[in-house]
Amino acid sequence: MTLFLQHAWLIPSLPLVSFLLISCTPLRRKHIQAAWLAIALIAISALWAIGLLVAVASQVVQRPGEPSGFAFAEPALIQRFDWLPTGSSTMQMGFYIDPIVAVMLAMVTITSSAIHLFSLGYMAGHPRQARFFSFISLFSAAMLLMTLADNLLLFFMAWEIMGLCSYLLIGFLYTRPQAAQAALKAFITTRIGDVLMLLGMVYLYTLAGSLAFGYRQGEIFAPDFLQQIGTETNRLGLSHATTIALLLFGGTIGKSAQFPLHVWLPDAMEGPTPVSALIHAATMVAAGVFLVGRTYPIFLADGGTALAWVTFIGALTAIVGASIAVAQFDIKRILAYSTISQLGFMVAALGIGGWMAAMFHLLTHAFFKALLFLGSGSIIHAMETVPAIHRIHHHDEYAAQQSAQDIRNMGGLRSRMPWTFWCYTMGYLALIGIVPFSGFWSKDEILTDAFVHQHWLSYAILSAAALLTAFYMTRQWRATFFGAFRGDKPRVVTASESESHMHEHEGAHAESDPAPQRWPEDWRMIAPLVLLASFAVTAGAFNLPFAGGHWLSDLLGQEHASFNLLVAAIALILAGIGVWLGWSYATAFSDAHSSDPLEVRAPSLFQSLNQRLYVDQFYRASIVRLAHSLATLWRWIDTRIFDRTLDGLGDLTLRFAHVNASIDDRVLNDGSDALANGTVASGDLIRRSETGKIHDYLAMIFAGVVILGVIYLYLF
Amino acid sequence: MHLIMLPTNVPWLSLLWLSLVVPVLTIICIPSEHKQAIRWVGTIFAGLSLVLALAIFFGYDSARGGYQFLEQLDWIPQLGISYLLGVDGINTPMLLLNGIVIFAGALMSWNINERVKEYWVLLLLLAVGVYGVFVALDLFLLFVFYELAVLPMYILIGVWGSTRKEYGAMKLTLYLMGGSALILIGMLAVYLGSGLRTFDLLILAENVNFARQFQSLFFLPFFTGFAVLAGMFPFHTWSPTGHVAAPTAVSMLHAGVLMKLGAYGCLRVAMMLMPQGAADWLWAIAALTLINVVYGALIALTQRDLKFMIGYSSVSHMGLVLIGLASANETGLTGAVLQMFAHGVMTALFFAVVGRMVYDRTHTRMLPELGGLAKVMPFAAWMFVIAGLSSMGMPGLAGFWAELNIFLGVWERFPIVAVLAAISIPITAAYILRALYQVFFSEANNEAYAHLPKLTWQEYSGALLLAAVLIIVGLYPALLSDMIHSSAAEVVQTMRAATLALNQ
Repeated sequence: MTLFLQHAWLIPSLPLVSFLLISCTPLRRKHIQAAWLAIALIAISALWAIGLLVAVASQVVQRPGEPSGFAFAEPALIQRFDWLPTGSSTMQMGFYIDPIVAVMLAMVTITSSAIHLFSLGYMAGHPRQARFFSFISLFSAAMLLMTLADNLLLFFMAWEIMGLCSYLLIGFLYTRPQAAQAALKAFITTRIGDVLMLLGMVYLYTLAGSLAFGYRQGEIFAPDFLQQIGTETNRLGLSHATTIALLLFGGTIGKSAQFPLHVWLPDAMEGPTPVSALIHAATMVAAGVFLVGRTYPIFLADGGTALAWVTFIGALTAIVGASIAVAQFDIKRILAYSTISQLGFMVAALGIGGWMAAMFHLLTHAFFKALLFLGSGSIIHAMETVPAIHRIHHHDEYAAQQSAQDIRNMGGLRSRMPWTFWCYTMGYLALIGIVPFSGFWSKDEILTDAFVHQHWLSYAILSAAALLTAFYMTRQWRATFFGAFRGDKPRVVTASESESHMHEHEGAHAESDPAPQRWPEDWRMIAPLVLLASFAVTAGAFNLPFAGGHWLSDLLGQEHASFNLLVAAIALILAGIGVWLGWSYATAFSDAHSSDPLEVRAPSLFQSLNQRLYVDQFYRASIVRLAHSLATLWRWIDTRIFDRTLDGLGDLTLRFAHVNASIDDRVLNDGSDALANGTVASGDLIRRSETGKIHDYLAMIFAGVVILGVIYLYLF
Repeated sequence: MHLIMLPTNVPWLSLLWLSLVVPVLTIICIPSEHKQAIRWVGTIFAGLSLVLALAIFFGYDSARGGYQFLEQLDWIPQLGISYLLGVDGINTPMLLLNGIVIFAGALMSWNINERVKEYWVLLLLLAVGVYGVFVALDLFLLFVFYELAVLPMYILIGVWGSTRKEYGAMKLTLYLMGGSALILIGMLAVYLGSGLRTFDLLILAENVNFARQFQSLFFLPFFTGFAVLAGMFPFHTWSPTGHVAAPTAVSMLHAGVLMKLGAYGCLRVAMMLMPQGAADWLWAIAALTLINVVYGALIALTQRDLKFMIGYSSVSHMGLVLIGLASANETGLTGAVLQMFAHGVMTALFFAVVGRMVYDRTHTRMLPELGGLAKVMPFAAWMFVIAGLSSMGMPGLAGFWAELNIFLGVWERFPIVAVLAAISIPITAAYILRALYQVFFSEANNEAYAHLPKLTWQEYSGALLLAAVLIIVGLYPALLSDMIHSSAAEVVQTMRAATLALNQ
C-alpha cells in the first residue's frame, strides 16, 4: 500500500508523458493512437490515485472523539527536494499528501478519465484531435500537480499552467473569432485574479520566509506565526492575515468565476464540450475553492474579517449566477451559470466556516456537473446532424453550432436518446438537490451549516438560489427532453445574437413524425455518462449525516455533519416548488419560435437577465475603455511630447550649430583666412626682399648692424 | 557549484572578447564578393565565443563567489588605468547571454546581401564591445568598451535598417551619446573625488567613501547616464524607434544585450560606487521605472506595428529590471539580473520571429495586414508562443522566476510600487495574446502568404537555441540564480557596509 504513496509522483507524470509523447513524436499525426495513449495513461493514473486514497484512508489515525474547530488531518506523506538552492534560504518543492489531497486526486483522475473517453467519441474525425488530447493531458497533469503541491508557489505555477491550457482549449476552434475572443477574455480575466494571488503570496513570503504548507515551525500554518499575522496590522489598518487572505481570495474570484470576475466562464463555453466539462465545471474552476480550502488556517487567523467577505462574494455569486441562468437559451450557457452559482455555494460555505461542507459539495458537484456537461455534449453532437440544422452549416458554421445548442430547437429527445436522457436526469436530480441524490446531501450540509451557525442572510440567499436552480434546470430539462421535437423548423441563432427565422422549410413537421426514431448513441460517449451518473447518484453516501455514514469527515478529520430535519424539509419543499414552476413554465416552448413567458410578461427584467445583468457591457464601457484611452493618451504623449521635445531639442541644437557655424564662418574662419592672407602677404613682402643679389644682402646686413648698434647704444 | 575546472593559467576573459576580434580581422581580409565565406567565418567564431562563454559560465565557482578569472596588466599607469578583467556571478550570466544572442543573431544575418563585409565587421565589433563591458573591472576600460558597443549601432541602423532608419539611428545615437556624456562626468567625479588616482572598480568600491552630498549629487548623472541605455522613462523613446529601424540581428543584440549594459552599469558602477547616493534616490528611480512598466505595457497594447509592440514591451520589461535594482536587496537584485537574462533571450527570440521570419517574408509588420501564418510557418508560431509565454511570466519559462524574484524584492522595500507594477501583468498578457492571435491564428487575409519561402536551417537553429534556453532556465532556474544570488548578496553587503560606515 505504501507503494502507492511513495510513487504518488506518477499520478501527474503519466498525463504529462502523454502530453510530451503526443506533442513531440509522430503520434501527433496518428489521431486514434494518440487518443488511446492519453486515455490509457490517465486511466492508470486514476487507478493509482484510488490506490493512494485507500492507502491514505488505511493510515488515518482516528482521533479520540470528534474534533472541535478546524484543523487539517495529519499528512500521510511529505516529499520535498531542493529546487532553488539560493544562499541562506533554500526553496524546496515537493508533494504533500493528506486525506483531502488523496480525495481530490481520485476525483480529478476519475472525471478526467471519463472525459478523455468521451472526447474520443466527441472529437472523432476532427483534424486536430491529437492536439486536443495533448492539451487535455497537459491540463490534467497541471491540475494533479497543483493538488499535490506542498507549497503555495508550486501550487501557483500549476495553477497558471492550467490557465494556459484553459486558454488553449477555449480557443481550440480558433478559426472562429468568437472562440479566440472568449479565450483571450478568459485568460485576461483570470489573470487579474492571479495577480492579486501573486501579491498575496509575495506578502505571505515576506512575513513567513516560506510558502510551505504545514503546521510546523517555519511553515505557513505554524500556530505562533498565524497568531502573529492575525494580530499585527499593516498601514491599511487591516491585520496581515486579513490582507493576505483577501489577496489570495482574489485568485479564487478569478479562477472560480466569482462575482465580479465571473464574466469569462459563460464565454468559455466556446470551447469543445468535453473541455467545458473537464475544465470549466469539474476541476479547474473548483481549484479556486480548493485554494481557500488549502490555505484555510490563514483565513481563520484574523477572527472572521476575511471570511465575512468570502461569504458575501460567495452568496452574491450564487444568487446572481442562478438568476441569469433563468433567462438563457443555450444549453451550455445555462450549465455555465449554474456552475458559477454552485461555486458560489462552495465559497459561501467556506465563508461561514463550513470547510467540510464546501469540500464535500466540490466533490459531488464535480461528478454531477461533468455528467450534465457531457450529457449536453452528447445532445449537441446529435443535434448538429439534424438535417435542418446541418443545412445552416453550409452558409454559417457558427450559427449552426449556436442553433444546435439552443434549447428552443430541442424537445422530445427522451425517446430519441434514452441513454443520454436517463444519465442527464441523474445529474439533474443531483443538482437540484432531490433526496437521495448526491447533490442533496452536500447542499444540505452547506445549508445546515448556515442555519445552525445563524447566518440567516446567507441561508436565505442560498435557499433562494436553490429554488432558482430547481426552476431553471427543470425548464431546461423539460424543454430538452419532453414535448415534440422542434429542431425540424429551427430558430437560427446568429453570431450577433439577433435571431432570424428559417422560412418555408420543405422538411417534415414534428407532428408528422409520430414514432420518433432513436438516434444512434456512441458507446464511447455513453459509457462515461453512465460512470459519472453512478457517482452522481451515490457520491452522497460518502458523507451521510447519520451515524455510520461519516466516512469522509472521519477521513478528513472534521466534525460530523449534523442533520436538521427542518432544513432538509425546507430545501426539499423549495426544490419541489422550483420543479413545479419550471415544469409548467417550459410548456411555453411549443415550437422553436415561441417566446419565453418571462420575456412576454416582464420584458425588461428578462432582457437584463438575458444580457447577463449588463456586467460585460459595463466593463466594456468602463475599465476597457479607460485602459484604452489611457493607452492612447500615453502613446500620444510618447510620440508627440517626448519625440517632439527631442526633435525640438534637435532643431534648437541645429540652430545653435548654425549660429556657431556662422560665427565660425564669419569670425573665426574669415579671421583666420585674413590671418593666413596676412601671413602670405607679409611672406610675399619678405620674399621680395629675397632678391638673390649679393649687394642687397650686404646692404641688409649693414642696415641690421646699424639697427642693432642703435638699440645697443640707446637701450643699454 | 561549478561543473568544469578550467586551467587557471589561461586568460579566459581576454580570449573571450578576442575570439570576436579575430573574425573581424579575418573578414576585413576576405574580398567582399565571397559573401558566403564571410558569413561562415562570422557565424563560426560567434559560436566559438558562445562556447567560451559557456566554459566560463560553468567554470565559475559560485560556492567560492567573488571575482574570478582576474587578469591585470598596466595600461596607462600614470593615470591609474589598467587592463583589469574579472567576473562575478552577475557578469557571468551576462557573458553567456551575449554569447547566445550574438550566435543566434549571426544565424539570423545570413539574408543580409548588401555590403556583407561591412555589416559583419560592425556586428561583431558591437559584440566585442559588449563582452568588453561585461568583463572590464577598470572604469576607464569599461567606458572604452562601452563606446565601442554603442558606436557601430549608428551605421548598422543607418545603412541596413528599414522604417525611418536615418531618424531612428540619429535619435538612438544622440540619446546614447548624451548618456555617455553624463557617465563621463560621473567617472571624472569619482576619479578626482576619490584622491586615489585609480579607475580600478574593486579598489574604488571597497576603499572609497565619498561624502554624502557628493554622492547625492554625482549619483544622478552617473545613474541616469547608464539608465538612458536601459531605457528608463523619460529617456526611453529612442528604444522603440531604434528597434523598429534596425535590421533583425541588430534589434536582437540591441534589445537583447545592449540595453542590459545600461542596467549593468547602473548596478556595478553607479550604485556600487555611491551606495549612499543610491539610497537617497531609490524612491525616485522606483517611481520612474514604475511608469516604465505600466506605461510601456499600455502603449504596447495600442501598437499596430508588431516591432513597435515588442519595442514598448522591452521598455516595460526593462522597467522591471530597474525596479528590481531599486529594491536594492538580494532578492530584488537577483530578480533584476535574472530578468536581464530572461528578457534578453526572450526579446531576441521575438525579434528573430518578427523581423527575420515574418517581416522579411511578408514585408509588413502591421497587425491588421498579417494573419493565418500558423498554417504557413507553424515553427514561427511556436517560437512566438514560447517567447510570449516567457514575457507574460508563465511558470516553466525563464521570465516567471525573474518576475517572481523582482516582486518579492520590491515588496520588501516599496510594497505600493509592487502592487502598481503588477497592473502590467494582465496588460502584458493582453498585448502578447492579441498579437499572437492576429498574426498567426486569425483568418489569412493575403493569398500570397500561402506561398512564403520556407524557413532556412539558420533560422531554425537560432530560434531553437533561444527557445531551449528559455525552457531550460524556466525548468531549472538554479542554474543561474545560484550564482547571481551569491554575488547579489555580496553586492548588497558591500553597499550596506559602506552606507553604515558613512553614517557613523
